[in-house]
Amino acid sequence: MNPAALKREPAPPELIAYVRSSARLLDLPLADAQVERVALQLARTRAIAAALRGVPLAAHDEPAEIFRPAPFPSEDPL
Amino acid sequence: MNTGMAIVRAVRSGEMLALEAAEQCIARIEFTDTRINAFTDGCFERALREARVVDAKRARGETLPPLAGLPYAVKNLFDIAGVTTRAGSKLRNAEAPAPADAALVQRLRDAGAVLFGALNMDEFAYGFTTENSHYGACRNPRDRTRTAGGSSGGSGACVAAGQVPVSLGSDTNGSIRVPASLCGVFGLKPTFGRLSRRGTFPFVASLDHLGPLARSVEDLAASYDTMQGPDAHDPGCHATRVQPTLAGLDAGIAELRIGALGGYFEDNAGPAARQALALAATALDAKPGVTWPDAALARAAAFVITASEGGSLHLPGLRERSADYEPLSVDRFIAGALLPADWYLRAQRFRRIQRDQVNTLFRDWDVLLAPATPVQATPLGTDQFELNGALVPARPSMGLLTQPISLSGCPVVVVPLWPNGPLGLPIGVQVIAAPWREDLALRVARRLESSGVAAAPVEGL
Repeated sequence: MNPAALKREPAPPELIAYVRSSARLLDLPLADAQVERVALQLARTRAIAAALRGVPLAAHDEPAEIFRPAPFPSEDPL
Repeated sequence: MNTGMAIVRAVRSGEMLALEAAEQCIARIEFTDTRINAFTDGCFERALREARVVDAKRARGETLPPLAGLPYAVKNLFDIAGVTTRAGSKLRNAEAPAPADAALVQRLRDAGAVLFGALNMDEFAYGFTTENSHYGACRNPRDRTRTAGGSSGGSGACVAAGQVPVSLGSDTNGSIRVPASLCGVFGLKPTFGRLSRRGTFPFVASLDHLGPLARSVEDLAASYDTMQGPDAHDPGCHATRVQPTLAGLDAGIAELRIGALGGYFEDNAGPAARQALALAATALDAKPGVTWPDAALARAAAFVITASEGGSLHLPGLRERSADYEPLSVDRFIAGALLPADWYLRAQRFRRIQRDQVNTLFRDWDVLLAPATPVQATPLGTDQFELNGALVPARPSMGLLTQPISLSGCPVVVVPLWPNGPLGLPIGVQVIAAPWREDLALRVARRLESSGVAAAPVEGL
């Protein structure tokens, strides 16, 4: 299915609960109506992200950007 | 309105004063912008001052810099000295004016370009339609009932409306390419890390690009060349030297291996987008049916990275002032701030694998073509549109064809085509090259322009 082709349905209860608890954890106040709307957005993102769960990733498949403490020196220290 | 480089040549030869060009732009902006709403902040005094500096240099017999007299404007997430950087939001209206120009504005200023102001955009660049509740929707000059695209909607509209020939925008998931496609102008998203982002308001550090939109490929190349250069103060600027493109623009395409993307890019293209791609592919004798590796997954990864980084960036503001955010995007920002870390990290790990696949693909191809947007500009306020038999949400779906390319960081030139004839709506084709090969994408775009397949006429308003 095209991931964008989603029907407008009520947000699943587990996502409503997730939004409430994670928002509380982050000190993010949300009104009840907003919880429902945010959960719908999260449902859309979950559907899109679900495809990535099937990607085989090995332990050495590191994230795209790796922290560098400083550019590698072009010359060795004296 | 001439192209930008036509104005530069006229100023250099003495055929026109930079001040005359500036006054014409101001008159055009004042005449048209009540109907287009491309500008949020004009800086006309600065424009007149910069134009007078150019004319004074010429009067003294000095050599003029390469873009002397070129009129341009910038998306309002670029710092302009003395102007508050709104980033499309009323949350930033109380911020102090920027103390200095953004790095790219500094470089254009030093090259003699003339700045006219800041341009409308989706709030904090999170959108593809520039339906901005704080500053009003930007209207598409080709049909003012329709979206100009986003998030750099003002940047596309001001060029199509003939207000200025060149503008700057930002592109995280398609925000230069979508407005270029819908407004019918040329646009360049350079390689990720090519141009300095210093002095611009960020959205998604992992994906943010800056680049020009313009009436001609020559204007794109000239402004892009001027903006190149390393920047030790921008951790995301990976270029270590300038690689000019303008001189090689007409080198031809005889030896280039050009393909057209199929699969995902066909499945998510409507009839006009397919027709535009066919026109470009025929003109270039491109081989059809090339597969972009894991395009749907790449789009998913870009979507997740955007949501998570964008949400995290705005979490302090969302805690204190969520009611002041754009109603069309605030819920997406909040949802992004709540994403599980695993979703984000999987997307970033996939990105590394997919990058290697894309670089392998470009061993066999020099340039690849794809539609830029699934459909032509939709009416303002559209919530859903039909795409090959399915109803899809309009605002996020405008980026279906640009997001996969964002993830790999490849350079892309969007060229405007007119599949329904010159009186119809435009739609863009992406000309995609391997990382750091903007020169090839620009050469192919130039061929499409010089052969008459692509064009960005000024809209009569």
